[in-house]
Order: sequence, then C-alpha cells, then structure tokens
Amino acid sequence: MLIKSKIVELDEWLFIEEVPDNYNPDRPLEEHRSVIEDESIRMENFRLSTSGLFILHTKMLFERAMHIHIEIEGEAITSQFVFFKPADSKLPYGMSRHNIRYIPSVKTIHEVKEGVEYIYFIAVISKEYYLNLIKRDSLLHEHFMHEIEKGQYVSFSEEDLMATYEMQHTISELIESKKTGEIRRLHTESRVVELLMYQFEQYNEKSEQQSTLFSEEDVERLELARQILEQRLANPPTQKELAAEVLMSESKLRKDFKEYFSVTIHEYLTRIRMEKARIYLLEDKMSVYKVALLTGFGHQNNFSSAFKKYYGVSPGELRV
Amino acid sequence: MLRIEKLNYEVKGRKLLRDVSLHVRKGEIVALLGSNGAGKSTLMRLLSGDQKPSSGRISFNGRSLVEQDGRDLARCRALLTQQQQMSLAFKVREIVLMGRYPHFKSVPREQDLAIVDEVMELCGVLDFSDRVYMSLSGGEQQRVQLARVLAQVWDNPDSLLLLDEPISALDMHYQQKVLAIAKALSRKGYMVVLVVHDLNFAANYADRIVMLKHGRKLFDGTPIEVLNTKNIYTVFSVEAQVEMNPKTLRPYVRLEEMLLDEQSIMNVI
Repeated sequence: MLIKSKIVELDEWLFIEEVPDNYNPDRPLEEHRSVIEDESIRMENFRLSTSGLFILHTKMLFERAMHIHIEIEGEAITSQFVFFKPADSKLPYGMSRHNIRYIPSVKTIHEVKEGVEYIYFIAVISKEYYLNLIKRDSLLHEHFMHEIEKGQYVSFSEEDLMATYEMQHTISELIESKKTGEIRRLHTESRVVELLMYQFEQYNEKSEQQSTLFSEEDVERLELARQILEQRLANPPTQKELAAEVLMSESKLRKDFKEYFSVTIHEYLTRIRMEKARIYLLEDKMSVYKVALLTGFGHQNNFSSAFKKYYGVSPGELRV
Repeated sequence: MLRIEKLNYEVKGRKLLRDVSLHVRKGEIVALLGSNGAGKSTLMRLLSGDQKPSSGRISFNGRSLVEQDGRDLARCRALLTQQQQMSLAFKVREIVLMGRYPHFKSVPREQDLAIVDEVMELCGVLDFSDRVYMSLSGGEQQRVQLARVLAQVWDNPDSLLLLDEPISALDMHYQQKVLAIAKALSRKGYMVVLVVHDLNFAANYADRIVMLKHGRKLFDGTPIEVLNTKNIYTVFSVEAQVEMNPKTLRPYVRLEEMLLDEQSIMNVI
C-alpha cells in the first residue's frame, strides 16, 4: 500500500508512506510525531506503520479554509474518524463521525474550515492484515465481507455514525501508548480490533433494532447437529450431509451454528477430536496410530499435524 | 443445559452486558475470566435469576429461567457470591443448614442433616461447626459459604452451580481443593460456572474458558484455544508467555514483570 497526503493549497507532501501489504507479526512498528506550525496552520501529526497497517492521527487548526488530499494505492480497509469543535471552545470534541470502508484504491479531498479544530484519525489496514484481525466468518462483518469479495468500494455503514466514548477512549489509548517493542505491537493490534468491533457493533445495533432469538425448532436442529458430530467424530458427515440430516439448508446451518455455539462447524469438529485425542493419549495411554484412527484421521501423519497445529506439540513429543 | 442468548443488561443507561450468548452443558465446567468490572458478577447474578436481563433469554433445563418458581429453582441452582454479609451471630452449622431450607418445611430431615455434615467435612469446616461465623477468618468464612451452597444442591446432579470467586480468600491447599470439588461435581453431571482470576487455575480445571471485556464476550473456547499472549493482552492488558504443559496438554501462563514508568509515581515523594 502507498499512502500519501498533502494540503492542496501548499502543494507539498505531508508524508508519503510505503507500507507492505503482508501481515508480518515480527516486523517492528515505526512511529513518527511531528508538528507543523505557521501563521495559518497548526498541525500535530502522529503516524504509525508496520507491515499491513498504517495509522494517522492529526490534530489540526487552520486560519483559512483549505483542502486535504489523501491518496491510498492498493487494496485496503480503512477505519476513519473525524472529531471537530469550534477552536475557541474549551469543551471536548462534541461532534464526530466515523465509518469503515473497503477501498480498492482511492483519492479523496476533504475540506477543512477555518476556525474549527479537527482531529482526524485513520487506520489503513491491508486486506491480509484485516483478515488476520477479524476472521473471515465473523458475524460482525458478514455483509461487509461479502462486498469486499466483489472488490468494489464500499462503506460499512451507509451513513457515517457518531463516535462513542468507548471509541474515543480506544483511539487515545492507541495514540498515547508509551509502550515499545513487541508489547507495542500487541497493544496496537488489540486496540485496532477493539475499535473495529465497536464500530461494527454500533452499526449492527442500529440496523437490527430488535435482534431475533432462535426458535425452539432451530435450537433442536442445532443441538442435533452437534450430537451427530460428537457421535460420529471418527467418520463425520460433510457439512452438506449434516445439513440434510437436520433438515436445514447448508448456508443456514453454517451461519446459525457459528452464532449459536460461537465456533464454526469445522472448528467444533477439530475441538472435539482434539479433546478426545487428549484423553486417549494421556489417560488411556493409547498409541498414536490408534488415536489417529479413533479420531477420524485416516493417516497418522494427518493426525499428527492437526494435533501439532492445535496443541503446539506433536503427539510423539508426549512420550518421553 | 443452560442456554444464554443475546443477553443485555442495562442500569441507568449504562450497558453492563452486551449481546452475551453462551451455553453450558450438563457435566461441563466453564470459567469466566475478565478484568474488574468486565461484567462477570453481573452475568452470574443474571444466571442465578436474582436479576432480570434487559433483553435476551436464559433458559435452564429447557425452561425460561424467569418463569421458574423460586423454590423449585432454589433446589437446582445455587450461587456463591463474592460478598457475604452476616450480621447475626449464627453458628457455622446453622449457616450451612440454610442451604437446605428449600428442601424441608419446618424441621430438617435426617438426610438434610447428613448432607450438612458431609459438605462440612468436605470443605474442612466440620471442626468448627459450633463456632460463631463472625469469629472465623476470611478464608474459613468463604469455605463455610461454599459448604452452604453445596448443601443446597448436593442431592441433585442436574443442578447449576454458580461460584463467583470461590477461592479469593483461600490458601493454596483449599484453592486447589475447592476447584477439584467443582470439577468432580461437574463429572457427576453438574453444570458449573465459576469466576476465577488465576489463568492457570482456569486452564487446569475448566473445560471451557469464556473471556469477557467491557460487558462483551470476546473469546469462548477450550483453554488451549483461548489462552494465548494476544487474547490475554486484549482482555487484561498484561504481558504473558504461554507454554504448553505436555503432561496435561493444558496451557501454562507465565506473566512478565510489569514495569511502571517513573512519572506514574512521581507524586509519592
């Protein structure tokens, strides 16, 4: 991703930042703080970047109206906030708006008025990084994900929403953190996820109005689906077969299962297989070969790698 | 089976719980984790039926919790709360016997008395059963309250046992013992939901861990699925290393030392 910005009237780049798209948790974060001040402008900038993520936080005040140009090249998801208030007001920022967007590439120009103090915040997140933060199948962003797959510019919420106190607080934690190194990275990621979550939640709350509970019939079907998986974990049905057995459409089963049990069907199957494997290996002292068969992994190698992925150690390492 | 769907709880416009959904099955022990004020105790009180949710549904053994008769509910659901005020000079045995009140009319039956003895023995409070509750140490009082709660549902393995910080005042031996009791009961069929602060206790004793933050459920899964450096930081803002204990296949969490920057204690001197 290439991100650059300038004030149109001054025609000088404020910054040009090249951010790699890939999600790489080992790459350090870079932070820059700068102040621009002359007779008509005052800007305090904070920038943070790492592979897959760029954050800009700008506090600005102009003596005359100007235009800010921001350009992003490359596929990205942005979380944007603007807070504003009259410059002579001592009160906190009373007005705000925010949104989440998916942009295949974009150039925008915002007008900033004279005598108004603005705080502009944007997190530019590469698609890869975004999908590492929020799982593809998360219900929070279901419709948004659908639009992203089409590759067209889309806003999460049709109209911008007002920022809540929680969102403001999370942004200030992101910006003011004094942490460094690995912990700064953890901090940044967790706060970015939190911010996105608050944004999703506010939008979903607004659009859903009355959230519906599962009907008794659906609950019975979902419980039955779970029972089937548990009873036949050595030879489980495909999701299509499972859906047919509980008389649901495959897409409804997938969606409802995830919402009801907080895990996908696939994750659930992995969980119960691994829990069983744990008991067979540790308590019943069975051989790896036998456990692989009993938990439905045809080949011992498949079992060993699934086991290692789940527990972080391979089954062979347990017998020492 | 305990089923919680889209639970919201609001007090004076403040949302203490948001959209929490959760299931506990018969025979399962679930640990609730989260920092102070995350909503754990609020959730526990809603699960006990003491407070009603603003919206959402809780159903317990197939029936809506709010529709159940108080006395019936008292025989199959017991809650140990964090604070126990006791201003009268009750003796230990009298308090434990209170757990049996939903089961007899005016005079305790033989089996009620037998249960009281049994749970007092288990919780290590039998030796001071005739002492006045208020004269006991904090840890001893906590064990007495636990005995009362256990007495309440001792003869009904279809029960729900809600333990809000049951080991906060206990020494190491009883911390382990109380969690072992909770786990053993779950293996007999009880549904157990407990709040603990020690991540390793949760990892060792719970079948599932649910992590709350700001009234929201953020993570829900087996210990190995949810206890990792990132989730722990997200929920508690502490740095931790997580290793796997190959003997138990449960995660082991090691906390890093927390350093304060100098400014935060500048005003002390």
